[in-house]
Amino acid sequence: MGFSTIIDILGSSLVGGMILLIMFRLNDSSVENSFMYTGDLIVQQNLVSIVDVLNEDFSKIGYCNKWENLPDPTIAIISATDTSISFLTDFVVLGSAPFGDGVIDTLHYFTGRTSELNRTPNPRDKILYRVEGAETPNGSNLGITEFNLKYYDNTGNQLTAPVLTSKIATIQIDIKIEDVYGYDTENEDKTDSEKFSNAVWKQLKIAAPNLKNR
Amino acid sequence: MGGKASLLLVLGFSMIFLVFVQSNNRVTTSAVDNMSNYYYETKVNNIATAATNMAAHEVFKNNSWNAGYATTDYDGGEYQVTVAIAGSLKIVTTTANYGGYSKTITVKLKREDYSKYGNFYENMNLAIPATGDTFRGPFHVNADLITWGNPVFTGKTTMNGELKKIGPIQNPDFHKGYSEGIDKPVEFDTSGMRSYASLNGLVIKDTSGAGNAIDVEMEFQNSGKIKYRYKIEDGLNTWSSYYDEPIKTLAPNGLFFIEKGNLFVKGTVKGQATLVVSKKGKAGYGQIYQTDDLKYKTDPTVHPNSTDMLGLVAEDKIILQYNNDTKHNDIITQASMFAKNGNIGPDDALVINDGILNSWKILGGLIANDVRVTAEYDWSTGLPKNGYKFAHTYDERFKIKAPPHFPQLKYEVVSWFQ
Repeated sequence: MGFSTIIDILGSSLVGGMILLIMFRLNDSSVENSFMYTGDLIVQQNLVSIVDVLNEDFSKIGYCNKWENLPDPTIAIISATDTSISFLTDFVVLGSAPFGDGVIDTLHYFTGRTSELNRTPNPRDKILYRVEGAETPNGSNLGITEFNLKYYDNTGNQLTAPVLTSKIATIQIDIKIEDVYGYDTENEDKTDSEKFSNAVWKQLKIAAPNLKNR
Repeated sequence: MGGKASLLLVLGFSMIFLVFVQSNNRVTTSAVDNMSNYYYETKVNNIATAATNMAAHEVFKNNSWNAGYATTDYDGGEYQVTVAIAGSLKIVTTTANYGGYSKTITVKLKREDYSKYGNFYENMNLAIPATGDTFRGPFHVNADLITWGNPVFTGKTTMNGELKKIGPIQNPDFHKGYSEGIDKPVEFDTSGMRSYASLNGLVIKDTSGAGNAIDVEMEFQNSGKIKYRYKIEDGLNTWSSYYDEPIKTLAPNGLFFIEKGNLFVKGTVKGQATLVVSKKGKAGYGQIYQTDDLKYKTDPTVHPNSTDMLGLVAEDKIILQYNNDTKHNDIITQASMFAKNGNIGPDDALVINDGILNSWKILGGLIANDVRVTAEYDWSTGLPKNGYKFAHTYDERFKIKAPPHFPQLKYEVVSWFQ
């Protein structure tokens, strides 16, 4: 072994070390990207699922298969705040009552407290409860961090709290969904949006056609 | 040796990159799929909604429109609309397709009954809603709605024109909001009601062929009978003897049609009836005079399931007659009143009422071409001093029911399912 051999070994070790470092860095980046992309996808899928359900339910505010049972749509919304809403509708029963059974039902949407989900890394996530009638509230954590409702009258003016429900003509729903678990959540150098993938949906003046008829 | 290692290195990295790229591609594809699915669903929903609105508008324009739409290309997709009739309802079913996605909307439409309204006016030229006025039930005017001060509208309020607020305080209170630009054209034709009355109701007219006008006195009795007599304006002007029959016997469908006549009516209604008076072109006729209290045997404000129901339909106007039973007395009217070309209110002499102020307690609705003055006001206090104060209560049953064959407006959507 001569001097040149030692230089070769040292050089190889240096190059090999650099390659290893690159591989570790590459691995880190790939894992992070994979987490973030998958998180984005989950957030997006959750958002679409929630929006589908909201569109379905809100389009039936004031709907009843037997319209005579709900002749005055101005009473269809029972209560309305910026984070909750209760309204009258007629639930579809697949198979037996595809257009509803003509009996007035109530549906209540509200968000739970963030403290209910203190085991998830995301400190802002909360459950959006969808409660049919008097059933016990149940919900799944889809990563909702914001669920805001704004109400407008026929002339487009926003109704302020306490909202007079009989004047509601249109409803604006704003939803923000974040990844529940995120990535690298302990890293204090990262911002929240870097740790948790998020998506926002803002539905301007959601259509509730049964609110306007009759 | 060095070349082999390099080759292995390159192959190894390539393999790793391939795995990551494939994984990323899968995520990206799923995200795009998700977005495009939502886009397609939104798009097909918009096409279905647009087609349904077009069909509903066709029905609104033409009551007999049942044609629907054959499959029609629209905005990159297509729609098809069918119209079915189910009793008094028209059911519009729209099916839309876009990019392999399908959406169905089912809408029920029903002709709107005038009796649904607490107040419905073609114009409000003679008086405007002002401070102290409370209008109960749905309210509509086929013109601008001009308000002075802060009148209260407890029901849904619509107008064909605009809301115009005047006065030092401009704060009308609409408990259930208001909508501008809502057109509700009056298309009521008494000849249709005459046909119904001929079929299974009662037509009272001059049967001599001379086409003379006729006066009819009618008293509802709480037994369910109607006692009536008539006088043909043929020069002799003699009253007939009294007829005294149950409503159901006289007019099984509940519709009484007085042709080219005036009606003088009072009593206690047991059962359901609609009284129609036409003028048939003769001035001074087509009027209904209420001569004393006219009320239900079973008061629906106390018994909501009461089936007693009365409609008054005059081609001209409906007047509280000035006589010994009405003057200086509070008057009760329980009916939905429709004065097609005139107005509804007390006789001019009752507005003066010898300086006495009474109440006119109405349970039902007022549908008229224009409003009528009911009292004289002390302008220093802004309060009525003589005549009749309105004490109007909306009959909640009229939200979904109407007196027999009561006039109707165009179709309106009563339920929208999507």
